[in-house]
Amino acid sequence: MILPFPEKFDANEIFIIFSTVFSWTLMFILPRRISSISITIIWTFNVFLALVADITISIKPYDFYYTIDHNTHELFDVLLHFFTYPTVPYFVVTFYQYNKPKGAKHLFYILFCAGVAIALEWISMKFHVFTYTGWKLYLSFITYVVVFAANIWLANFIEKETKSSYLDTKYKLHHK
Amino acid sequence: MFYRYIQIRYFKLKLVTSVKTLWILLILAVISLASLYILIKKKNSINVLGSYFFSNILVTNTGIIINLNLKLTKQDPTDQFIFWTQKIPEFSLKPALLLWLIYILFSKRTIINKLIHLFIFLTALVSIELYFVHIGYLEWIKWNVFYSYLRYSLIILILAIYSVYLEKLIYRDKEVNMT
Repeated sequence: MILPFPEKFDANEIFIIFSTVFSWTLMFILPRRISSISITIIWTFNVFLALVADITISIKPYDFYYTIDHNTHELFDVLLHFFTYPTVPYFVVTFYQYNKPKGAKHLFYILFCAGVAIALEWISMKFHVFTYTGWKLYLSFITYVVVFAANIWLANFIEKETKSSYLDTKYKLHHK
Repeated sequence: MFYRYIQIRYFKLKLVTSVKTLWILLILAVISLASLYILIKKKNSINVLGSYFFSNILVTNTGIIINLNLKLTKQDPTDQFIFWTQKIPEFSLKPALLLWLIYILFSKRTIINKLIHLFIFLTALVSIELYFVHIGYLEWIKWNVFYSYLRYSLIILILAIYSVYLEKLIYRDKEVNMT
C-alpha cells in the first residue's frame, strides 16, 4: 500500500488528530503576525526538517526511534509531517514577531520554546507517537534550539528580502 | 590461497570504487550548491529556497514510498557508507537539477528548446539512480527506467505548481507593501 493505514486505531492516532485539530484551531483564532509567503516557506522548511530527521535517524542503519505503530511511512506519518509538526515553529515565529526579543531575551525565548516543545514531545511519547530505541530527550532539546533559531533566522530573512524587493521595485518605478 | 588473493583484490577494488564514487558525488554536490547560488541571482531567493525544500520533500517522500512501503527497490539497510553516499545527491544534485529545470521551463525559450532541456534533465536525474544500481548500492526489484522517468516527471509537475504559487504569493506581498 502506498500509505498504509494504522495497524490499530488507538491512543497515538487519537492524540495526533486531537493535537492537529487543537493547534490548527489556535492558528486561526490567534492574530496572524507573519505574511503568507513567510508562513509557506516556514511550513515547507519544517516539513523538510521533519522528513530529513525521520529518514536519517529513525530508519536503518541508525533506528534511534520510530513513530506511531511501525517502521513504514504510514498515513499518520504524513499527517504528522505536513500538518502537526510545522504548527509549533509557526507559533514560535508568530510570538517572536509579536515582541521581537533582542540579545539575551532572544536566547531565553528560544530556550523557553525548546522547553515547551520538549514537554509536548514527552506527552506525545506517553501516547506512543514516538518510541525511542536509542534517542534521548535531551538530544531533542538541542535539536529544537537549533531548529527554532533557524526558523527565526529564516522568518527575518524572508521579511528582509520582501522589503528589499519592495524597495527595489519602488526604485525602479521612481526612475522610469 | 588463490581464492583468498582474488577475495582481497575484489575487496580492494570495491573500496576504491566506493571512495571514487564518494568523491565524485561530493564534487558534484559542491558544484550543484554553487549553481544554486547563481540561480538565486537570476531568480527570487525566497522562491529558490522554498523550491529547494519542497523538491527535497517530494524526492524523499516518493523515495520512501517506493523503497519502504511498496518495496519496489531494495538497498542494504545496515551499511552506513551506502546510506550516506545516496543521501549526498538527494540533498544537492537532485534538487539543483530540478530547480534549474523549473527555471528553464518558465524562461522565454521555445517549446522545442524546453522539451529538449526537460528530456536532458530527466535523463540526468534517472542516471543518478541507474549509477547506484550499477555499482550495487541499490537494487531495482519491480522498478525500471520508465517508472523513474514517470516519478521525476510527477515531481517536476508538482514542483512547477508550487513554484508558481510561491511567485504569486511573493508578488501579492509586494503589492500589499506597495499600497
